[in-house]
Amino acid sequence: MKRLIAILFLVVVSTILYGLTIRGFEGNPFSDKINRNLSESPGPFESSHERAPYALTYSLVENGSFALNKELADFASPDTVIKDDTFYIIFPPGISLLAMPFYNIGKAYSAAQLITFAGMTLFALFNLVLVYTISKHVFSIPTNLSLFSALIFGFATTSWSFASSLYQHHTTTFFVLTSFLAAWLYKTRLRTKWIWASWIWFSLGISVWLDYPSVILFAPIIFFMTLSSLKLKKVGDNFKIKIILIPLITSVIFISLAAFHGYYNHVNFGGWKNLAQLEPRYDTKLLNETTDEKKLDEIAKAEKTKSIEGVATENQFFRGFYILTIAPDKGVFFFSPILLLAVLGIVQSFKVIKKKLLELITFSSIFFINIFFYSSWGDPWGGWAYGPRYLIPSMAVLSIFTVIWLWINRHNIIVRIIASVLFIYSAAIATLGAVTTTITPPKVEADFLKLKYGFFNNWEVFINGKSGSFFYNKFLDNYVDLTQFYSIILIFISVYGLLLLFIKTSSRKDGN
Amino acid sequence: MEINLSIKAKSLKGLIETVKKNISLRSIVIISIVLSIISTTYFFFNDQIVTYGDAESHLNIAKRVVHSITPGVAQIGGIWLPLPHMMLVPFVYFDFLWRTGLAGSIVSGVSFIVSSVFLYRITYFLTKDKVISFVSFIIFASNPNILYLQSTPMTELVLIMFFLLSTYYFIRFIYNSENIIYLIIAAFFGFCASLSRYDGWFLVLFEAMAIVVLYIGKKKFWREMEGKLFLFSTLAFLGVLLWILWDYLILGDPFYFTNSQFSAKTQQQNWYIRGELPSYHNIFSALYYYFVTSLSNSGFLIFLTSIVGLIIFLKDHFKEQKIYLVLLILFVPFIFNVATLFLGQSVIFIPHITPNTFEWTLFNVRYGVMMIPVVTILFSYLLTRRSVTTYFVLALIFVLQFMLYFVGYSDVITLADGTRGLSKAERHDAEYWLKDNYDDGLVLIDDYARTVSIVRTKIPMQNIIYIGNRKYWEESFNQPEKYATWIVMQRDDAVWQGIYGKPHIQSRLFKYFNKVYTSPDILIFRKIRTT
Repeated sequence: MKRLIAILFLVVVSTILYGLTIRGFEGNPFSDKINRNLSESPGPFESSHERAPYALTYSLVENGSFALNKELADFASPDTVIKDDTFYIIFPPGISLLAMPFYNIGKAYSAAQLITFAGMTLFALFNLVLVYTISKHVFSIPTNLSLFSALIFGFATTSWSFASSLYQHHTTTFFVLTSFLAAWLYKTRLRTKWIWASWIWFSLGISVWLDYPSVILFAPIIFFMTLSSLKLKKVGDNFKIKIILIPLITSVIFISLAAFHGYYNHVNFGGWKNLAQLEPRYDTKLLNETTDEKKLDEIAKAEKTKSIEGVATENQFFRGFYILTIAPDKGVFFFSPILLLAVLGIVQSFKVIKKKLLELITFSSIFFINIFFYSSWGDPWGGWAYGPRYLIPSMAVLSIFTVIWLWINRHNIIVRIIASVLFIYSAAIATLGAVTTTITPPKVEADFLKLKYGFFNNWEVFINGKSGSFFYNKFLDNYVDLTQFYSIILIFISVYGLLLLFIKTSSRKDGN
Repeated sequence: MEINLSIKAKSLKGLIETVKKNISLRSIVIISIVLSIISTTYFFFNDQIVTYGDAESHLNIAKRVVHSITPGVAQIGGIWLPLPHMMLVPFVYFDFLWRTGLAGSIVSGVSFIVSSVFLYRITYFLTKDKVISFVSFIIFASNPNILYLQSTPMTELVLIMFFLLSTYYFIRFIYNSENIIYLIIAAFFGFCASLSRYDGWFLVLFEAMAIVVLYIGKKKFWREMEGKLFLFSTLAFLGVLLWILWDYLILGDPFYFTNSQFSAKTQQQNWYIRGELPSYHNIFSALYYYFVTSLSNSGFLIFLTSIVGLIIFLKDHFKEQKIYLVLLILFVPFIFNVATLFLGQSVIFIPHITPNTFEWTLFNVRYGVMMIPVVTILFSYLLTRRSVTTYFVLALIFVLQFMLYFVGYSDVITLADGTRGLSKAERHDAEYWLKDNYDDGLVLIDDYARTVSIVRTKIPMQNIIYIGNRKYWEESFNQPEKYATWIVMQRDDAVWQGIYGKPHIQSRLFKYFNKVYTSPDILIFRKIRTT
């Protein structure tokens, strides 16, 4: 009962915090007349990464079409492509499809944008519960520390900035975490293997619709399931090998979803493996600013010969690894130094939690693959975004390894003090992003444009008293200033975190 | 829904035993021969044997010893060390092997096979395990950079061979210091290494230092060490002394190899002036550059795993003083390359870390192959952790590494350097023209400028006049018509400056020669035919 209350408390607190920082405004964009520049920053549509999926959601609901009309294409630009004089968004349509029911609900209450974004917050909330559950049940970490891992992921990392938005990262993280949990249940439960295997394949199939690169994050999970399907036993003079065929049979779910996506590509882009990303981009800003016909021809030619070859290469790894780990504009450990403890957690967990070796290898592999792939990616920065948004699934993984390390060193008070300091610092940076803006230039662009980069940019927005928060702008602006709003949130998170951290930690149930 | 299989434990054990039984030096020789032939055939039919500019130069240096207007050992020159070229001589004698580069493939291929055998033997000596040693060999022999370089006339495989031979016998000596036969053999192969590439000089130096360290703390330190050190040094450093003597006698400067205008040091100065020598007097940059270059040559995942192997290796042998000496010798290539980068004696450009603002981002990356032997030893060392998980994970890493190559994530970086890096031999239109139009007669050309590829034209080496044919070369600058029927020059090369750049000689040139080929940078002249 106590545990249930604790989880409920976490969910309620998190809902409030996400609610306080959700970005948006009232009204139904495109259907109603909105007296503001939709793309202004800070705001819900400051990034084309949010405008494009929203435009598609609108198009799907209102026009019943994956193609965008000119107005929506201009709105979503430059994340739009053009194929046979028809406009599409550059991303897979998964997020927009998932957002449709929320859009419909919101539209009925004249809050289409707000409710659509809030719908995505559901996945962020699920992720907090999943982080807790994996920590508690898979790795048998005590309740207080498991709750602390959820708090780290939710409010001491930059995942917060993307929790109430149309970015795909929280949904991807949701499917990765549920799949890991399902793979563990597949291994440990005898009667329900069908369900768990089906869910893993379903998640993989859905991920194809959400974000192509995220598919590789499932590799260790599929591997885990496959290994759990093989049993080797020595009986007398023979080795008996048992191969469970459930993963093979249920893979039809993934094949169906992937095939359906292929059909989507075929209908819209002329071939099952023709992706929207490979079609020429429709960039209104570029078109308006470039007057040189010759240059436009060159751009058009380059756009027509795009290929996925070389999107990730070894040559780019070292630069990308630096950017994603410690760089001041994007580094995950620069924005959330609490996660540094997770590195120690990974190393120590292999020595201490020997009974869960396969689970540890699988779970840490999600992080390794995530960072390996995006370090090798041509654009490791993820454009103008607050923190390393591509590493949001890793932030969930690292949050758990952080508390594993805290549990291993639970008798050392210094460890907790260090963790407290790092947690508060990380939460301060995460809160700064959540209350201001998600579009922050990477250093390489900021230097060129003579802007500030990373959270230094957000600090400037903060000092100027600008917030993207709907709740603050609508209800609190006249009563408290942004500093007070920010301080209240940060103090609340810090107190909650410290309470969880300093409660006496019980022993893990299963020993090592 | 499941499938049940049953395997007799006996037959499985039998299978494992059969595999173990068949691991022998013979099987290693056979596998390496097969791999060598397959890869050489592949690169031959893709016309990639002589992609490096240096590859052709090695072939030509050796060829001139037997076929030149002034043939002889003096044609070996004084910059590149002589042994790899001497090894090429019997093969380049045959025009087909010279022109195709297969002469170099034979030398490098044999070096590859010997290297494979001695890598196996080193690993076996350190682990006393046939399977681990075999895995070490497999990782080495399947490395695409090794397979490419062993197909070419480049000198890296020759050095690796002598490095491994010397190292093997030196390790045997470390563990059995009473047996001076090992020391003498190690010194002999050290001598060979020191005449193959300059890395070999560091090898013998560090081996000598290791002898001193080996006896430190012993009661009769000096008495025991002195004899061994002198015995080793007499032979091992002989190559260094001979080379200095050679440069003095033939070229008039004992340090011609570093002082000459053709030396690596002089070339690096050009990069320095352009601000493109990032590791010069910057130890962190030097370490970083060679680390990344080693990683890229060894294979991204294999290299990272070998770092874990190094940690485990050190942990297992923490208290063994001798093992540190073994590691020191195995890591000599790392020390050498970092030192030369730091001192500005060499340069590496690698796209992973070289700034895009540099004119070139790919050059000399092949220096990293020298780390492949130690990487394979450390990678396979992890198999000493006898658990199914370890076997499985290492096998997976090996497969994934190949997938990275296959999907284009990782380049075969030595091949990339030879085909699109600065090491690539430029192929000018003039070369094709000359190939179609050359009939007969001597050709005056600045070979250092690599204006045209001699092996790819039909010109016999005996008909080439270059700087090494001193009498012909020098006289041609006063009387171009005296020997040459053809003159090939590239803007600002020695022939251009010496003939075309001097008005009175230029007028003589036009008196006796017709300009038969013109491009913005290359001119070809042919002597006016007299009837």
